[in-house]
This record gives sequence, C-alpha cells and structure tokens, in this order.
Amino acid sequence: MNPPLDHPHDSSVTSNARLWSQAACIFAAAVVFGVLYNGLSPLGVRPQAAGVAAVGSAAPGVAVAKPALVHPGVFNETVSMTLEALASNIAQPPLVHPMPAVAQAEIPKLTWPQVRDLLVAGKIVLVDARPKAAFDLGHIPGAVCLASNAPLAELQAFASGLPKDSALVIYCGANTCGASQHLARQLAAVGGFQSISEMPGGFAEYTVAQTAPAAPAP
Amino acid sequence: MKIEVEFDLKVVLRWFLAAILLWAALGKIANLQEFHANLAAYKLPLSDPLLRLAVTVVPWLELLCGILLVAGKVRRAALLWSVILFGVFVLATGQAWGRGLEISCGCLKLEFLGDGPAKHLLETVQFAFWRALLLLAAAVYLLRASRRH
Repeated sequence: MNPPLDHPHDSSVTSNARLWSQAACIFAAAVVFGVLYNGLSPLGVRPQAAGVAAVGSAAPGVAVAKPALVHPGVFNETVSMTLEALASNIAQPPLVHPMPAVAQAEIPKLTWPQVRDLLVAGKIVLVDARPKAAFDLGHIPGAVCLASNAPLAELQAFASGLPKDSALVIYCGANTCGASQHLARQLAAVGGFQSISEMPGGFAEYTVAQTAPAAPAP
Repeated sequence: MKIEVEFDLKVVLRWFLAAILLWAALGKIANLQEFHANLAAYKLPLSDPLLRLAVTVVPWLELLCGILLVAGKVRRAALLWSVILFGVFVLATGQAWGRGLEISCGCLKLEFLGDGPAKHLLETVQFAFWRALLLLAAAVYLLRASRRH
C-alpha cells in the first residue's frame, strides 16, 4: 500500500522536476551520440571551410558548361528568396511525349573514380541534380547546378547551350535520392542528348572518397 | 478458451508516433549531409554552427524518443520531446509554406514510392505541415493523458 500523500503540491513539483531532468538526460544523450556519430561518419556535416568543396571551383582542364546556370559566388539572399517564391508558382516540367528511346532506356551507371577520370579529361559535363541549397553547401568541383525539379524553360536553356553529342553525367545526394535518374530522363526527353549517365553514389560517394585515406602505393 | 484483445488507443498512438520518429531518424542519420541541405533549404534564421548542431542532434533526439516510446520507458520525457520536435516541425514547415518555398520537406525517406506524384505530394511542405500538426496533437494528447495517471 502506498503511503498517503500529505502534500499533493510537493508530489507534483517532484514529478515535474523528474520529468525535466529526464528530458535533459535525453537531450544530453542525443548531443553525445550525435556529435560522436557526426565526427566518425564520412557523411557527417563539417564547417564549410574545412569539409566541403569550395563553391564554384572547377577541376583543372574542365570547362564548366552553361555559366548562366552556375550560381554566382556572391548573390543577394533577398533576391534569391523572391525568385524562389516566384518559381513556386511555375508548374513542374512535364516530360515530352513521346519520349525518345534514350529517355526510356536504362541509364548507364558510373562510379566516382570513373567520373573523376572523365571529368579531368574534359570529356563530360557533370550535372548536380540536387536543389540549389544543397549545391551551395558543397558540390563536386566542376559540376553545374541543375535541380531535378527545374522548370521546363530552365531545362531547355541548359539543353540549348550544349551540343547534342555532349556526354552528361548526373548525380544527386546519394544512391537513395532518385533525383539524378529523374533529371537524366528529363534531359534525354527535352534536350535529345544521346549520352547521359548517372553516378548513383552521388555527392556522398564523392565525399567518402575525399575523406578516405589514400591507397598505399604498390 | 476465450482470448480478449483490448484496444487501447493510447498504446496504438504511442507505437504510431514511435514508428514515425524511428523512420524519420534513420533516414536522416543515414545521410546527414542530405538532411543538412534539406534543412538549409528552409532558410531558417539560424547561423551555420547552429544549423549543423540541429542536423547533428535532431535525428538522435528522434531516435531516442522513438526507442523510449516503443520500450515504454521514461515515457513522459520522451513524449515531452516529441511535443517539442513536432512543434518545431509545424513552425518550420508552416513558415516555408507561408513564404512560398518550393522545397522538399526532407522529413521521411520515401524513395520506395519511386518518383511518382504520390512521393511529390508527401514531400511538399503543405502536406508535411498538416502531418506534423496531427502528430503534434497526438503527442500532446498522450502527454496530457500520461499526467492523469
């Protein structure tokens, strides 16, 4: 049998104090686990100056295609927000019908080492299909930003600035994002590009490769 | 022999909240950089270090709350954090909706839905706002109910 409570108010205060102390413990545990995991994970978030690629820097020898789509290093936040608010009223680009065969075919998949070699050789145009905010936080040097949900006019502008025989390689965040495959089909339909590949590992694969220790020389 | 199954709304709601929190947490923890980009797209008035702290801590808060709600341990504190988290999600998605930001909410991993209209609908901030509001209501109800016992 529980002893009778002489002071219900005291009981309530004790209960509340216990609740808040337990909540504080949960928060402390989340901070500890979060900081440890973030520090150990190659996909963790780092201060921009140290951990991610510099915005706008291109690999040597690689021409960055369609400069109009590369977001400038300095841009006005208010103007950018206003433009995004206006863009929200623009309908998503429909796929062209009937879609060319390349748009329906299986998209070839490349790994980061393969893409890196092609990029350095200047044989491909590397396209980042993630939203602008993700691109601004970090991207593969030499890539151009073209979000997978870009309006039709932007896709057409991008396509018109490149020869049809350009080899495009598209990536997004990681192998679960799906935006690169969507953009690949969009560009095949809108631009008529015959050579479109995907880097399914995306920015995550690139980041892991950057943070992994170099393989020992044979 | 007769087996009676008692339907307890509170238990069902608690398990539902736990499932949502675990689903959301694991998707974010799998790729913190993607979550960072999703959160940055909300254009919240947070400095970069504070944004990175949120990216680091929020998924683990969700995970711990989900585990505690499933286990039924430290239930009230887990519900209190659930109320805070869903309240923040309501505010974040609400301000994004109000400002007309056309962004993916980045709340749950929905890749299994493919790239169809269902996925796009579920990822809109409008849908995310109403979903977070309902989950907030459920968490508040459970927290208040737990206080009465």
